[in-house]
Amino acid sequence: MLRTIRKRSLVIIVLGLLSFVSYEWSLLVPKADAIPAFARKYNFACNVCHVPGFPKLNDFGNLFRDHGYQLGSESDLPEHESINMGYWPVSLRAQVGYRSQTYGPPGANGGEVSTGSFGFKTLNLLSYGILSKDISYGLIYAPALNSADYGSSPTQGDLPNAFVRFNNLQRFLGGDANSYWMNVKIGKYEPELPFSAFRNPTQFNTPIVMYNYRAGSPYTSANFPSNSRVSNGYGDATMPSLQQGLNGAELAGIKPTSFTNGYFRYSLNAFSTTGPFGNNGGRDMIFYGHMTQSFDGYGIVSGHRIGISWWHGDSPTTANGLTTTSGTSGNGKTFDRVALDASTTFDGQWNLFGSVIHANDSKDLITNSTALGPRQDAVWNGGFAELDWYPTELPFFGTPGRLLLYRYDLVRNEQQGIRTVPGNYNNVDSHI
Amino acid sequence: MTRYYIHQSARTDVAWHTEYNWFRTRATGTNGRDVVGQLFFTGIDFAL
Repeated sequence: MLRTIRKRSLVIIVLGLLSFVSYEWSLLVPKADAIPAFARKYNFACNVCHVPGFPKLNDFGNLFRDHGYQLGSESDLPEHESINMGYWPVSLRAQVGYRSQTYGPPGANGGEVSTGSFGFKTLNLLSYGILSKDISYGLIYAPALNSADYGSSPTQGDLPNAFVRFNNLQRFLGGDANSYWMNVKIGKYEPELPFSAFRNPTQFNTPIVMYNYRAGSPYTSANFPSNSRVSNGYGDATMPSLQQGLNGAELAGIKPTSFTNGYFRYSLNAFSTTGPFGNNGGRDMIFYGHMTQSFDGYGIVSGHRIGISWWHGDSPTTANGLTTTSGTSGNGKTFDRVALDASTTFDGQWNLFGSVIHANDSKDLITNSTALGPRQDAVWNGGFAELDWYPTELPFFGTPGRLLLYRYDLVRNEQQGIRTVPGNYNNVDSHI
Repeated sequence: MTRYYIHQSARTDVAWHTEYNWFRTRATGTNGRDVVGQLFFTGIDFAL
C-alpha cells in the first residue's frame, strides 16, 4: 500500500513538472548567481557562469573552471589595473534555517527517532583564481565550529580544497600555447567526479548516495542521528567517500571536437589513500580517471554528454606499530569502481543527468567477520538520475530565478562482504 | 528541492532553499526490518 502511494506521488510530481514545461520555453534565464569573488573581479553578470542554483555551473562556467579560472586575457592577472587594491578574492558561504529529521523502523520495535532544530550547517571561505598567468589556485577553508550542523555535531577545521594548477603545459612540448590540453594540479581537491558533489545544491543535507556508500555500513543520509537499532552491519575498510577532497595530483585537459561540436575532456589522478588507517597519508595509492565527450555544446545547459570513470586503489588494513601520527599505514587491499555517466539538456532550461556505478571491494577489506561468518568480496551497483529545471519564468508565480530539482538514488548489493548477511541488506532507495 | 533567488548581485547572493528527502535502507533494522529516514530543510543559502 505504502509503495503504491509513493509511486502515485512520484507520478504526480513528474506529471506536474512536465505540465509546467508547456508554459514557458522562450527566453534564456536572465539572472543567476556566482561566487561573488569572481563577479567582483570581472564585473560579470551572475549568469555568465552559473545556472540559477549556485553552486552549479553552466557551460561557460565549466569551461572557465576547465581553463583554470582564467579567460586568457591580461584582465586575469592579480596585478591588472582594473583590479582594485582593495579587492580581496574571497567569498563566504553559509546556509541557515530549520532542519527536521526522522529516522527509524516504522511501527514496532522502538518507533522512530525524530529531531529538528534551527541553526546553520557550516561556513565555507572560498578563494579561487590565478596566481600568475597559467598558474591557478583553489582554497576552501571550513573552520571548526562548535554549533555547526544545526547544533548537532561540531565540525573540525579543515581545508577541503587546497591546490595549485599549472595550465597549458603542452606548450613546453611544442603544442598550442592556449589549448588547455595538458594541465597539472597538485594538492587537495575534489576529484573530477561524473558530476560534482561540491557543486550540487543538495550537498549540505542530501548528498549523492553512490559517492558515499560503503558495503556493510547501514546507509544514512548526511549526519542523521545514530540509530542503535541497526543490525547485521559489517566493516569495509575502503575509502569512506568518493566526494571528499583528496590529496593527490591530476593531469587533465580539454579539447574542442569539431566533429561533435562539443568537447573531449580527461582527468587522470593519483591520490594518497584515505580510510581508517590512511588519513595520515599512508603509502597506499588510489588511481582515478574520468573521460567525457560532449555533443552540440558542453552538455549541462546545451547539448549532451557521455562519460566513463574508474577507480582502482588500495586501502590500508593495518596501522604502523611504530607511530600513529605520520604516514606509515599500509598492507593495502584493493577496491575498484567503474561508472558511466550521461547528461542531456533541453531548451536551455532542463538538464537530465545521472550515473551508474559498479563497485568491488576485496574480501580482505571486510572486517567483523569473526562474529558474522566467512568473508567474500563485497560487490554492489548503484546510481542516480537527477532532473534540474531552471525555468525562464515559473508558471503561476511568474518570476524568474528558481531551480527545481528531483533526484532518485539507489544502491543494490550484488554480493555481501559476509556470506551470511541477507542479499538485500543495506540496499538503498532515496528520493529528493 | 526548490531554490528561489531572493536577491542576486555582483556582491551578494541570497537564495531560499527548501528540500525534502526520503530514503530507505533494506533489512538494517531490528529483526531485519527496513529503516526509513526523512529530512526536511528550509532556510537561506547566502554568499558574499
